[in-house]
Amino acid sequence: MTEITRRTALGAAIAVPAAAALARGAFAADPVEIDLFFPVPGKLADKMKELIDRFNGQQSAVKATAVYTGSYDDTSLKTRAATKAGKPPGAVIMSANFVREYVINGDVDPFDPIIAKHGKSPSEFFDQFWPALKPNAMIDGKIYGIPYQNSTPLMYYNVAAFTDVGLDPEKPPTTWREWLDAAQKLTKPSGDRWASTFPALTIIAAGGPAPSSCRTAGSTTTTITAAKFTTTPRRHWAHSPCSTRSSTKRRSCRPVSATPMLARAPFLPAGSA
Amino acid sequence: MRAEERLWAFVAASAALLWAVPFAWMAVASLRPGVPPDIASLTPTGPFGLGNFAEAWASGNFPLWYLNTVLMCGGILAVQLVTVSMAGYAFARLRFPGRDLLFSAFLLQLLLIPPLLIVPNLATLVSLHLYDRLLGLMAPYFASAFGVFLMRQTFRAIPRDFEEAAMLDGASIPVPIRHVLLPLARPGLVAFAIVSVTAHWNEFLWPLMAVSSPRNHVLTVGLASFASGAEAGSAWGVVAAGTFFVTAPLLVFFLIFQRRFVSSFVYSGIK
Repeated sequence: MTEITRRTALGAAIAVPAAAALARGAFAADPVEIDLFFPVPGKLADKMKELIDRFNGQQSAVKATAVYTGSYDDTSLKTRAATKAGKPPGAVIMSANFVREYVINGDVDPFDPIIAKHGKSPSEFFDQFWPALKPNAMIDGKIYGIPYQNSTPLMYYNVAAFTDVGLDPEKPPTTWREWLDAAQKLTKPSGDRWASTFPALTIIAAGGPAPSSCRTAGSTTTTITAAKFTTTPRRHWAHSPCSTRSSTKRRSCRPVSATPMLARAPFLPAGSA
Repeated sequence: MRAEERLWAFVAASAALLWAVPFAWMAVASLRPGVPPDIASLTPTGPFGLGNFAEAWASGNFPLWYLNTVLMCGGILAVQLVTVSMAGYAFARLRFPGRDLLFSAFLLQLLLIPPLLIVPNLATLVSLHLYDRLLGLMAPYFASAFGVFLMRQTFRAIPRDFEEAAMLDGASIPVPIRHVLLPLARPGLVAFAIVSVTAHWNEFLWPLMAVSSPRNHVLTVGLASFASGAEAGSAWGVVAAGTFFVTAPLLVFFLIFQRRFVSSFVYSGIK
């Protein structure tokens, strides 16, 4: 589950103390202390602390504490419990899927006043993000979440396999149609090579972007198209059979090296960051 | 008869083996540095080394986490031993109006699942100014319905004659408790101590909820902060080494006092 929600990580803010801090501005004698809950462990947690230290060093109105709060679900649990108990965090990094729930419960304040202070309208502010990120973050015309640490689905492909069947490795597929065409070319009828592997839910969760090598902007593919797409391959025999199962029951399929194409979100090995 | 004995021995040995698999797995994985291709193998090839332990130790503030965990478990247990033996005595020996009703209420509390109490407990901690403090982490456990129940049964199994003899010699209530009942109830107390320490040592959700500052983190939350989640997927060795650090004290403690623990459990009739 973590991996799926990871795809859509957003910042949702419980912005009461933060807004208060802004109102007090630089005239405040003591810094306002806020907690920032975050759900990423390991090296990413170290990076988070680094960022917060930098933030604390740059200004004196707000003193933020980065708090590791477990998985995405645990983070939501802790946020809700702390809010109910009267100790809401200043901001939370959590799955974008939770934002609406917090808005409905009235537990979050919109970022709009803070953004307005910086002289921007909400839509101007959102111009800096990919359009696909907007629906999760803006609710009823107000910004409740700021896209942060979104996992971007990438496509990996095997250059040797592409060359082998006459596909141009410099021009990987950029639409689902092209992906399917390439997959069919790459598949060997004998069953020696399946053309592509992807955990079905990854693409549905990703929603917007079509697979393109490290480029995700400019896509118009919708979640529904992606969902439909994942059901077609079985008829075309283009995909490794086990890879089309629900990713919650994902089994180890073929090693990546034997798979000519693979679409999935980036996966950061703990040792590599 | 002999065949039946052998069958039971086989069943017990199989269960023990099954139980030991995760530990063996942890030991094997922790001793293999890097990311070997057969990373999840139970019967791995070399090279072996202690690099994972060094990396795990450096990844987190283990000394602080150990200290906080020991303080938490020790603090909870110290208060619990007093409260459960006193309450156990009251329910076992004293007569007062509403005693059985009150005891039923204690037993009912055993039926509540702990996560249900997270929000009310947090709200109480905030109003007591104990939120995000170790004392607040311990406070909800200072009384234990299970402990009261266990001590009540333990005290009731001890014949009244011993206390009455002491009373005849002119002792007031506290004296026979301290010098007669508690020494006789020691197996019950030890069994309760094991259950209590193990439960709180391994607890994750409540410490995660009640404490925010990194300086108050305990082992379980600390381990999760560097080991859990998708991002740590390939660092099994380091995760296993960190898990070893968390479980080792309890394992060593159990191995040293194994005989006494087992007899305590047999005596007190739990698990």
